Amino acid sequence: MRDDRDTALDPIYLRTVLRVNLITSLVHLGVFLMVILGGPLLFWLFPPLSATYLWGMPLPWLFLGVAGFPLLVAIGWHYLRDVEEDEDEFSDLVDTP
Amino acid sequence: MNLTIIFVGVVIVATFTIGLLGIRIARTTSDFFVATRAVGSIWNASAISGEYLSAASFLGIAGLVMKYGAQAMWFPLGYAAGYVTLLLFVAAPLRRFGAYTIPDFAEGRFASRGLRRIAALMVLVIGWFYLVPQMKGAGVTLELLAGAPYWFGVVMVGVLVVAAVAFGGMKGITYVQAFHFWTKLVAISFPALVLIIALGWSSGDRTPFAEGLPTFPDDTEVTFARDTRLEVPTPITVALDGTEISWTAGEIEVREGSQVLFSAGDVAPVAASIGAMDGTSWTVPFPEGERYGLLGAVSLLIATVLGTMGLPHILVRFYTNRDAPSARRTAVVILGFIGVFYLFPWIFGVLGRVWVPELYVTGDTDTVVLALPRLLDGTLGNFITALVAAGAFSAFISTSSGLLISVAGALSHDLYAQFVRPEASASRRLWYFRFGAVIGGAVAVGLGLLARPFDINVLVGWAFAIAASAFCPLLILGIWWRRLATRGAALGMLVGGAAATAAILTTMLGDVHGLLGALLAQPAIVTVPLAFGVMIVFSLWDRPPRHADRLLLRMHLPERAAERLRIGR
Repeated sequence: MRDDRDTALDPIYLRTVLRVNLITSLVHLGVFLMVILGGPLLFWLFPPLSATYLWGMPLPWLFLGVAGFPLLVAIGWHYLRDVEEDEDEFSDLVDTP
Repeated sequence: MNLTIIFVGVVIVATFTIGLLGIRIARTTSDFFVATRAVGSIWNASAISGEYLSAASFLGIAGLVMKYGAQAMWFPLGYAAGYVTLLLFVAAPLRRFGAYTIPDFAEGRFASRGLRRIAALMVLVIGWFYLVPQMKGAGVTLELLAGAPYWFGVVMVGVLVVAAVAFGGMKGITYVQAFHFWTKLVAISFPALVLIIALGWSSGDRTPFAEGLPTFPDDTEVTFARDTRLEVPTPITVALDGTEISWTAGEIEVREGSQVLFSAGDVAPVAASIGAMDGTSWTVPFPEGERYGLLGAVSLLIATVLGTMGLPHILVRFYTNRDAPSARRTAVVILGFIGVFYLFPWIFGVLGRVWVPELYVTGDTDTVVLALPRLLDGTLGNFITALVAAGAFSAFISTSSGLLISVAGALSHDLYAQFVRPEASASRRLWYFRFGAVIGGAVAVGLGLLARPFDINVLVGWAFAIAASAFCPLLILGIWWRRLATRGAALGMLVGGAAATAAILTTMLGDVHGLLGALLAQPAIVTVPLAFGVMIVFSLWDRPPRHADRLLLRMHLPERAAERLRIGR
């Protein structure tokens, strides 16, 4: 395979791979924003939530101090799975003559 | 006390020993600046977490939570959340690009040395803003634990870190930083659990989330290290330098060196710089009467969520991953590691409100993590105090050395060697780097001496805001948008970085209230979109730089496909 042929293919590959990667990232960004900005918004809109206690702790403290972290890990882990799948698929596509 | 010296000494000696062992492996100059890429994801995630968890995480979060309650709880989650955006948009493509530092990326992506220079300037601003609170942490720690003057801790950590950086370099530091992470995790989690069991959430009717103002659990003597203006919420009787005296509700001046004895059960006066908060406001994230609470919270979250990717000392470590997929895995492991760490610091802030209200009196809430273990008796108390002190020093040293490497690299490599002495040999450059470390450290120590009145966490939050404003748009658009033009990138970086820095300096020096004051104190919500806007508008008018398509392809094409298509890296 000669180099200039690769170069001619570049724009198509670039557009495809950029779009696939961007969509996967944006979907996970959406979920992430719901968690990270949705929390504050919820507490701001519904003040009684902040005065609700669970196991002796006010809800905002439980969310910001404990529950938020596993949610972030879950989002990261799910993204990892999706993006590795995407990349495998794309590489298979390129491998097929 | 003796145990504390031993523990802190062990951390310092281990830092140098592991670092020096690393040096023998570092043979080439490039090894010295950036570790060779032979480190696995778990090691790397430990090292990055070790470098990341600074005085702000170890001491600052607890201090700010004790001061402002739930309003400060955005910090830990925000600090962790930055790794999600880094993972989604930056980690893998940047690793494929192969740039060590942000200035390297700026030059490589746009073939512009001017852009490298601007990026290096921003590295200096961010680096120094971030270094200063580490110095403050060291100053107040030694002041509390050893009775040393404030400047002593600042200078001591400054000298140690300059020495470690000038003679260690990067390779040694990977293992040093990993060691620091595990030290910090043990030093925050174990004491937190012991304190919860030994002291308990509450004593009698004094619980952290109770409605009223904090009261003294015991008769408490406070020595004032400087002139302090106090808010006295309810009239109390105290012994001032041995003489009994009544304080009426209102404001009171206390002179430096005064000793005041407060009685158990009395409501604690609060340093006027903090302002008394009753339990009802302290417990909720948006207290009544706080008009710009949501704005402040969202702006801070923007700064932390978009700022982490722009921290020079963090990004450089992603280069030590084997390839792009392992860079991504590293980011997820980091989320897990620091997620576990952040479960603990705020607990100290909550316990502090119940058990050491005298920190409200002096305003030194940044020391609450160190002050609480001293309430425990005997061997256990000594052991926990020593452990926490070791963790704190580990935090100052690890973050400061990472930052100082970036600052010294920007000064020597990006600014001096590139522009003034481009012909310098590799060994010459190493000396420039060492000299850069000395200058960078000296500036940080000098500013650290002035930083005592500022909260550790607030200063670090500002470093994030500047990083988010200057570097996040450059990275995101540079990686994902082929049309980003050189001039647009340069202007956006300058405008965003300068606007955020100016807003923060205004807040530090002036006293602005209302909406403008809230925006100046947390500028990211304005300056980040501003920087993005400038970059986009000026790029739409312009042509993309040469090879933009090819560089983007290199960043986004999966490894296997790239090999098949024979696209070089």
